[in-house]
Amino acid sequence: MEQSLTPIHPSALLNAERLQCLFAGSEFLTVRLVKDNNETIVGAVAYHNILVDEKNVIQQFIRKINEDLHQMTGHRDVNLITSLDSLGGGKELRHMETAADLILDAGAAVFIEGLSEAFGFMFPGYETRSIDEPKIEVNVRGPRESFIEDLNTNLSMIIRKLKTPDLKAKPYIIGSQSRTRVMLLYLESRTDSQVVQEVQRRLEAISLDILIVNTQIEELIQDSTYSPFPQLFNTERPDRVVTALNRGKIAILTDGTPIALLTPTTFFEMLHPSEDLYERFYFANFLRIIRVLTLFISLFGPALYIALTTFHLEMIPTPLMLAFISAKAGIPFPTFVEAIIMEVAFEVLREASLRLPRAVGQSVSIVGALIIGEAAVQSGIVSRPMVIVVAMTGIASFTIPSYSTAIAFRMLRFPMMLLAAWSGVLGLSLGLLILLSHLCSLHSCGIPFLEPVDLGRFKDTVKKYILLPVKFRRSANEPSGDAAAKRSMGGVLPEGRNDG
Amino acid sequence: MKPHPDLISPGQLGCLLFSFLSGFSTLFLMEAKMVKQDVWVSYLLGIALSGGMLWLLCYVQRQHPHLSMFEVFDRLLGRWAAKLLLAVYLVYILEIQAAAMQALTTFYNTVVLPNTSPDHILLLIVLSTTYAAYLGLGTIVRTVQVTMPFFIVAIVIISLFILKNVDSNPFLPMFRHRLPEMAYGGLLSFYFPFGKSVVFCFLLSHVTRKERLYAGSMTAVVLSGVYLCAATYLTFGSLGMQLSTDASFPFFSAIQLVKFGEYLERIEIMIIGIWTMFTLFEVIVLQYVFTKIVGHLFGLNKTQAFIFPVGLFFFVIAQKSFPNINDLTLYNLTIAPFSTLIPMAAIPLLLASLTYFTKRGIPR
Amino acid sequence: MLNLAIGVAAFSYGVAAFIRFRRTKENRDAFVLLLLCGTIAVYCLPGLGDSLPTVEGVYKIVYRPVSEYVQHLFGINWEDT
Repeated sequence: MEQSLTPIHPSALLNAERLQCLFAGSEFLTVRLVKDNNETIVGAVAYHNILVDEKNVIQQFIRKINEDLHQMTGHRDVNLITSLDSLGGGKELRHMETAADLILDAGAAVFIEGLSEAFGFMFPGYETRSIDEPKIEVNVRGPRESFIEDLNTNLSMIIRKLKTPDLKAKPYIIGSQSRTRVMLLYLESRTDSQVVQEVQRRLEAISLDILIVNTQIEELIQDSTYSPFPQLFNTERPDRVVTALNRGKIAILTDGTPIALLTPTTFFEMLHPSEDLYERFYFANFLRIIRVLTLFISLFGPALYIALTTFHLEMIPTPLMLAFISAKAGIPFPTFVEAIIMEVAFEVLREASLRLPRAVGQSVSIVGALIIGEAAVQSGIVSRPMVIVVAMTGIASFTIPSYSTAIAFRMLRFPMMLLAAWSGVLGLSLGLLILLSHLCSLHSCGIPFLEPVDLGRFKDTVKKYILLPVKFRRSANEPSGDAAAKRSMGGVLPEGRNDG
Repeated sequence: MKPHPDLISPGQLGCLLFSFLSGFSTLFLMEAKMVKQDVWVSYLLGIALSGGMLWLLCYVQRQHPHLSMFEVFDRLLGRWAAKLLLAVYLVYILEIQAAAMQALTTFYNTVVLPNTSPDHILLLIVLSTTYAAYLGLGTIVRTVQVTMPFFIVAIVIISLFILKNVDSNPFLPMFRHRLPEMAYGGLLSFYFPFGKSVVFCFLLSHVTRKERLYAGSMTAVVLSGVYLCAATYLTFGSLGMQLSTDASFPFFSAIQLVKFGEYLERIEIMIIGIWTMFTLFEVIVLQYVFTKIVGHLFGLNKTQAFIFPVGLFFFVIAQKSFPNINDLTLYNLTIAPFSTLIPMAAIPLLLASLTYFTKRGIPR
Repeated sequence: MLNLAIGVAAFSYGVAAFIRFRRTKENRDAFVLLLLCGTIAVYCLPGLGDSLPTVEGVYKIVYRPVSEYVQHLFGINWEDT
């Protein structure tokens, strides 16, 4: 790898020409030659004229170099280095490719005549979105900032909350064409070194031309490609990333994506929003129980209704059964078809309201839900209980904090309905068995996805699911393996800072 | 990084064995119908016999800690004799899987889904067990561990409600049956459910701490016995002796009597749903072990590809066996206790004897 | 109808897996799988499938005398139960 790189040549002019060759056919490279009083070339400055703030920064930068140069005497290269040193923040570049990377990253490369190394300075001149409130993971009491597309800004949001040298960051460049910056973050004393190595190995194995968003990374490093469930947690909240890092997780941030990936993650973490940590633990635990309930409703709601009304009417109390039967009278479709019609209609409405501008989207969902639903009932296409069941199921699915997990459950609702229509409670049991087996087979970077839900670790399971008061919470967030051992041997974090 | 997918702890083995034995055990209560209040003696006999066989198999495995049971067969018996005896286990698995699948199908067709074709039920069962078996032993065990608390909670709640209907100890007066009858009952309970545990000999090499093999598996057998005994007690106590004997599925008839207040009169459907998941672990384990035996017997490299056809093979054999519930009952009562003795007792005895004499023959 | 579909599915799977195994030079796996799938397909054939042996059928013939002898020896009378 190292052999294929072109070293910086002592001739600044030759280096400038090489860069121009590298960027041939592109109008974006600007090269300025720096000359001394005798009009001899003493250096060259190359930069990307779109990415850097050319007018305000580069011209001042070059002017200062020129002024310093003209005032100084003696060796030209020494003068130039002294001048650059006074600017500060430069980094040494030894290869043309590194210089090209720096230029494409909104930097300026300075070549000095007679030196086999160049200096790089960053002058980002493009606009980025300002920090905004979270759009997906909205909360009431927690911080109201979310990641943006700029990696450095995102990193600063995390580092501001984790002021410790224990925070390690490993940079990657992924995408042979896009050269996208990716940053791997973890707390060394808290994270299992084997997991870190595994994630690094997977990141290094990625081969892409273009990396636009980190869902591409997610798909390439997850353990099971064909599972409907996300095996890495997506979050737009810096506070969530900080909490996760403190619990021994690894965060992956990608330049251009306002979402961080967290790994290893477990199924139950997908059900806990960061809001839980900011509420009083009674209420947080109450909400956690409600969320498990709504998870079951969102997955089995219509399927259970189909099974009960088609196969197991005897399970329904008589007055309720009579109500169902009278509501169903005159409906031309079997319950399964009725449910499919309503579920598809609901998904169409949801998709439409997402894609349309926000104001219109809300109108569409209201019009769809109220008018179309009412019209469908009035015209005898669907029964009223079915509308209630589908609406309840839809609302229940919104309570799942992880968007990707909610999508998985929305999707799985359809095969469950099919199984229920095929063989009632047997179909549901078999569907649940398949689903549980699948979830048990999943891993997130080597850690079981359903960890630690099993009989052998009942205490861990309870701690994982029940939120304890803050003063008892430390043991619930204990990382496992060598990280715990490492911390006990002198971790750098103070005692009090153990969870978010 | 990932733990070995097929390595399990003794505790996990115990959980799997408990689900394997307990799933179907309360369905027919055959021996209970035969020896009535003295059934606990039969259960004790069944547990003792199974415990003995398990001890022998664990002993064999502990003497060959680095070999799988297939390799132990090869070492002790020679290549061709080992293949013959492994084939006996294949036939045994086919026999008990057909009985289990037909039992579940008949139960569903009789009690829950009278209008659904039994073949469709069988197919659904096979498809789901195939998927679970395909995921491997580690996943099967974890799924059992996740499912088991729900099963235990559901059964405990329902048992407490049935207990309200029990007025007197139905196991009294004791010893009202002749010893041969109780012995035959013991033979029945040895065949079903306790003796089925011999299938686990092929999983013993997957257990991490070999010194706790027997403790883990015997605990499961005993707990399974306790559950069976409790279910029988509750059934006799709430239905009465005569009704329990006449009912096809006595324990579920007892569950049907449970009412939760005014609004949940037929809660048993939910219990049946959880119970179904639990019962299927028997078929899943059988499918997994069957595929492994086929793999060893024919020296196959990729046994994963065989899981699906093995599932379909289970389907056709189960479909062609036991045309009606009477056939199944008669077979379970009269044929199976004898047909299963070779894999359940004779082969473990042979293996243990050979291991013992081989060990004594080696000069220290 | 269901059996026919299962027979066709088993046979198709067998052929597809056979070809795949042959490509990777795993001949033994290929032939055993084909044999197993062929057996399933034959069991699924209408008429012929029903006349093929099952474990239950064979064991009933083999073990009935043993069972009857032991029941006689133990004095088991099913009429009582």
